[in-house]
Amino acid sequence: MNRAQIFTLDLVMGSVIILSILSTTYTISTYYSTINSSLNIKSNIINSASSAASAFALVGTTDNALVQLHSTGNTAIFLDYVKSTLGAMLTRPYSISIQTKSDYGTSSAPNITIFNYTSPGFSDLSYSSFYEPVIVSDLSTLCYSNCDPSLSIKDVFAGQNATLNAPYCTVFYNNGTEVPWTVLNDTTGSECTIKVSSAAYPQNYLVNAFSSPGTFEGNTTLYVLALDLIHIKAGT
Amino acid sequence: MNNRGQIFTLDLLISLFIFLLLFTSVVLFLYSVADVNNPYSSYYSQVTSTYLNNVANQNADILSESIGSPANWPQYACGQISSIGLLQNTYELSPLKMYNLTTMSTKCLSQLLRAGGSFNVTTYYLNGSTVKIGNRPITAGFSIPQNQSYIASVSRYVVMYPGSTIIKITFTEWL
Repeated sequence: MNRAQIFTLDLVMGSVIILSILSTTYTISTYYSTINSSLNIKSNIINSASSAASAFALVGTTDNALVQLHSTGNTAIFLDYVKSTLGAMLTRPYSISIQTKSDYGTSSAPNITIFNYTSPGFSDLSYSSFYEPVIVSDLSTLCYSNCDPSLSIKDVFAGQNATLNAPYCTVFYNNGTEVPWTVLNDTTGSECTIKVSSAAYPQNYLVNAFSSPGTFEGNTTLYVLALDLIHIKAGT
Repeated sequence: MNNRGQIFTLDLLISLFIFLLLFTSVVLFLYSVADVNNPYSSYYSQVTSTYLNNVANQNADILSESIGSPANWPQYACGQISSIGLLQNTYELSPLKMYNLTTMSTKCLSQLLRAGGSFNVTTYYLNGSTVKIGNRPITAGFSIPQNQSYIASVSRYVVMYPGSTIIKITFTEWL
């Protein structure tokens, strides 16, 4: 009678195959779980960076800093502002540049770089780009002889808009001609939105405010110093 | 020479036992890895992480990018509010709405945000300190537990009225 054969070559090979299948299955599932987590993290970083870029362009302190940059040309002061504001919001290395227009009166994009900064560790291989057009405007009330100091121009930089705290408003050049811009009146709220054209010239614009059509409340001035473009590259 | 056929042998029994053992182990392993209801499986981990992340992002967007419905929701009872949002206009946070976020009942807030019983929303200045309005920290929801297995925390940056301050809104959801 032959001896029982337990430990055979077949058994060894079969065991190896089955163990290989188990290992491969585990590795694949773990790999996809890692990819899924990585995608969630990157998506969160990009969403946060997008809101940071938008907030940086919208906040009044950025406008003040840009006015100073245009007026004095001092990039060191603007750099300090960028590091303390944008740097506090972006968790990864980033790059920022400010372009201004060279040919006002046309709709061409700003193309003269007046400021550029790249934070340490920034890589050109992995980043998200954000473009924010801004109106550089001195927010201090600049009135003509009959302006109403209670009216205030608030610059909303997204899409180069400016808002006034009145439901209705109209905008004029210095010579009294109404500008061909789009003005969005707010019948339910209290702010009209002035969409400054990308072809606008850097000058004063007289803004008349109305509480309702035909009911004049006063006027103030929108002072356009420059139309700039902020380009932020946020590392991912 | 033994001419009898040998079918039911010891070899067969042992081999069969080993095969069934290995086969059962493989099947059980595959099911455990792929079972979304098994808290130890990677599928459960993926689904849960993605779900929490989606809830956190959705609510962070709702709070930071909408004015709510109705727009003056702080003046309404919970049952009359369709959704809450912290914006005062198209781009500025309303300090009044931020304050009302903290006075609203957690149950109402959870219901409106569909965030369940494990969420937190807190606002910060860029220097890391918690925003205070009327000396009241602007934070709502539940305390964030330590060492939670599944937790998602997302942030959004928004300008606060009257336009000179950037606020960070952080929404955290956990399981």
